[in-house]
Amino acid sequence: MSILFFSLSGMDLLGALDKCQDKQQIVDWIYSTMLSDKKSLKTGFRGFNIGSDFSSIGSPEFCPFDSGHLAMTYTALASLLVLGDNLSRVDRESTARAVGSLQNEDGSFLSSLDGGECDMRYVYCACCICFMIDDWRFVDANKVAEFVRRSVSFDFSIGQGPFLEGHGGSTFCGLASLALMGRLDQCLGAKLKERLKKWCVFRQVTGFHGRPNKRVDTCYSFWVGGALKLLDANNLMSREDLIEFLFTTESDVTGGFSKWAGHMADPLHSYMAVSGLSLLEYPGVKPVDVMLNISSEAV
Amino acid sequence: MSESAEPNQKLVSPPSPSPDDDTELPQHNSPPPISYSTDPIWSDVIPIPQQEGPFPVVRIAYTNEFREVHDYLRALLKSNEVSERALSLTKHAVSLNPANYTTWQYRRLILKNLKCDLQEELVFNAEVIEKHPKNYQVWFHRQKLTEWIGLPGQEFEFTAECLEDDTKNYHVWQYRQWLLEKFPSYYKAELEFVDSLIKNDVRNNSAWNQRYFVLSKTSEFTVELVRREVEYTKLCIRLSLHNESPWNYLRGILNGQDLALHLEVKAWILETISKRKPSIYAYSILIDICELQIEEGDVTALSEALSYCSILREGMDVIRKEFWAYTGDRLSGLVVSSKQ
Repeated sequence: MSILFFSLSGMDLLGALDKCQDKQQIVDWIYSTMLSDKKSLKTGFRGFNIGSDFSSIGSPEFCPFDSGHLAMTYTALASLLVLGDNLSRVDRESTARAVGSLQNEDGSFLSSLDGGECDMRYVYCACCICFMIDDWRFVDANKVAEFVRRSVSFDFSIGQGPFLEGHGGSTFCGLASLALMGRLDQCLGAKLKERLKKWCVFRQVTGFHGRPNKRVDTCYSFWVGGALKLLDANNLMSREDLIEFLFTTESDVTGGFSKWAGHMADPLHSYMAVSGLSLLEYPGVKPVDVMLNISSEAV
Repeated sequence: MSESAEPNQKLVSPPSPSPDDDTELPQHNSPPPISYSTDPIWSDVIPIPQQEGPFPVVRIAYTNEFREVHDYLRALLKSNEVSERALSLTKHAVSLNPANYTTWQYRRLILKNLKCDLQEELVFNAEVIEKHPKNYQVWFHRQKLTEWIGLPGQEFEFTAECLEDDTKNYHVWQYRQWLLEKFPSYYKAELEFVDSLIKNDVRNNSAWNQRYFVLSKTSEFTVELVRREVEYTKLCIRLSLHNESPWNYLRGILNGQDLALHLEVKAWILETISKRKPSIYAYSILIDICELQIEEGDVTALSEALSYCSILREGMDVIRKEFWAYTGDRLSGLVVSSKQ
């Protein structure tokens, strides 16, 4: 599902979605991965159909281990929006209840009902899902904000959880989660926002890296670039240096972008490079909605 | 294959030698050790192919081995079988795709129900970690095993070894923090461990973070402790003036302390950079201290801060020239609003 999302949204940002001729069939495939038991707390999308018979209105639980997964649900819903679907086949209330059931006492979220990691990535996915289905009833937003606030590190970045090392990816996820809830300013306050801006701009070496003294990597053009955008500070980076770096990671053999120059291109880094370029208003790339990481048009 | 097997019937195979060689991790792309379809041990299982529908999307070119293993896995998942052969199958499956969280979850259920030797499982898990050290699922699995065992065993030593290979592996640090919270008697030795890592590489940002974590969990940030940490950090800064990590740590531990302590540190910074080539981080923290001075009513610190912003903007840190221009304007605004 993630690979599909990177491909579709990438094509959309590049204005090339019209080259995708089978949009309805892709929509049907996405829905086929949806768990269709409307009363189940396992409602959501899976990465792929685990074994149920194909159905374009979703499939029942295949086995006790079958459940929706927050990252797959986020990328599925985002992909559907990119394809112009109105989410009419999604049971919004069941989905919202399912997301709520994954929230821990400390405000973070499990990835799925059967357990798994619970870090800032899934806070972000949960907030994206609630935003896209417009239903926050079953999520405790105060606790989410509190979890993000407690994950602010001593160096004024945001880690995957309290006391974990601040990181470009989790900083974006935390900020975007607050923004999706409309609580960014309220939760952080002016002073912390300024400190976060400083931490983010210091991630720029040529391109961005994710942590101090680490190597630059293409994907942080979105994670850190996006964090700066959320802080209303993306004009404070060096646009020229970032663009120059990004194009060193572009493959002139296969196309696409890799994490570093000379590496093989992959869907994730290709997409993050394109959405990073969108944040820079690079010609030929559509505006991206920084919170959801899909085109503003699709939202 | 038996045609009489009911797909939903719980199947538990009778005790029999495992068909797999459990001492060898099957290698991806090499010929499978067995073919499940021809192995009599699996004859009662009807494999379930992945249902991709009439229009498969993002078709993955699975190997025959991958396809067969997961066809059989789906069958066992559906019947919720708990058995040695299921355990063996999950081992084969995670060796082919260690990122499949469902497979690991199923494996955990089997391990628990069969009351397997969890120490052996830790050994197997370590083998997978060696090949996939940045995989979320393998580390989550290890954490669950340790949780069940209820003792730290060799986990601190194991994570220390992993950090020798990659001193900044986020998963290792995350697991190590979990271990410390679970077995807090090990906090005593952690500062020394962190110190050894910092001595080995003063640029290791993860180690600096761990230092802050340990102190936060074991101490109060009294003035005495902060002073001790300031002295420690100064030593590290002297070794590597252009290294961001200790400067960030310095600013972090000073946060919330009195202006007087900040000014002492400021004096040290100014003295240090007068003798050596200044770093952008030194000026950055000087600007932060000037901002604190302004907030506490000393508006004369503004011109000093603006001079640092100019130095950075005009030569030392051109890549961030917009940020330093913005910072100068922002601090000027602070002074204007404080006068109103």
